[in-house]
Amino acid sequence: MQNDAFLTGLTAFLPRLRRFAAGLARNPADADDLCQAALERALVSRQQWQEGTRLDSWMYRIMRNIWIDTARARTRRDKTFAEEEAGLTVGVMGNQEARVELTMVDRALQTLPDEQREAVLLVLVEGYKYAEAAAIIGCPIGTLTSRLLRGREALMIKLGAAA
Amino acid sequence: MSVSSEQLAAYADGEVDDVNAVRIRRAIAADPALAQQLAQLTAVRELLTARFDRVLAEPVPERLTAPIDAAAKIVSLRDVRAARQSAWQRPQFRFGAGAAIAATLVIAVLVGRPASTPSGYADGQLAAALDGVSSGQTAPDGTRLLLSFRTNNGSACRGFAGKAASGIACHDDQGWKLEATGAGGRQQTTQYRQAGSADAAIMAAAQDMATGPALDAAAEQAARMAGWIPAK
Repeated sequence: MQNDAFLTGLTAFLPRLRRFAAGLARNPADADDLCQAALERALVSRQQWQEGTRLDSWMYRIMRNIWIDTARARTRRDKTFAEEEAGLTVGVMGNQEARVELTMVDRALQTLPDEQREAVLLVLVEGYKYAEAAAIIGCPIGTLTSRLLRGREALMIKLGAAA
Repeated sequence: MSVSSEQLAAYADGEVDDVNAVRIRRAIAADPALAQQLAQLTAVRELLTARFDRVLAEPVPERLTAPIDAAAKIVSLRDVRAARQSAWQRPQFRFGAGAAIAATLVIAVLVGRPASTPSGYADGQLAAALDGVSSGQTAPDGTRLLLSFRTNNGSACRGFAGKAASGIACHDDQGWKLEATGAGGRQQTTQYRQAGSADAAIMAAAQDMATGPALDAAAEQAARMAGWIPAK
């Protein structure tokens, strides 16, 4: 049954979806909110998924689009309140546990512009080929590789002591 | 022979063809600075995977598995409802005199309702919606009626989703007793959340409480006409 394949596929994919969300969102609670929102949108629009195409890229595209929409709204809001501390505590205020769990890698990632962050995560963490990552984002490969390069160079500098 | 940082990164990512890979490998062997750059590229990837791969080992929270479980249940609920529908269409299940008797019963039930609502029971607009609005329809106050079903003791229950509250109410001789309620759709919505998850949760809870499939339109109509009294 197609439905079963879809739901079984989603279940199997959840750990990877959470990994991607952990990289995109600012703290663990936001990450699972993002996952849940993506999951719900996928369940509602499952008719749009074509059997035989990759469920993982389709899900990542959904999640990435939700994240971009939310990040735009958040950026507008944060600029008003928290400009001076950007990158350190934005998005984790009032959530001490999340703050404790932020690693050096998290902090370095959060200083990247969104488009560099998603490129870095899709290729270096999720292991997508450049062409696949570009398709998920919906940009040309050349755009993807230049964002990846810039993001990676920034990370090398931020994490330089450990690298 | 020079290798750009873009080419070196592509090499590290396995994105160059065999011919270029050989060329770049030779350049790296001949140039310690290039080898150092490659080591940095690899180190960044390793730091990232070390940070994020541990997420794969974490247990997936229930709030992420629940929507999928609920979706699976809704699918099966829809299947049994369809099966039930065809059963109702068989001639022996058609309504005749029964509906007329039910119509007289509904008056008795309306008269018999207590003037003040006991606590734990739906009151006012919600009670009116539960009484009279068909599943799939929206009451004037915005409450949507999701489905009707019966529990194993025959009680009629209804799932609803409103702005103020969502849940399941079962009818007894005091009115609509609220069995399972949650916050309304609006309160549950975080920055990422969409409306619709509450419905799925209610459908799943209904499936757990129900003894049979959801009532189809005809059975629901009959139950309403009978004042939502327990089935024999």
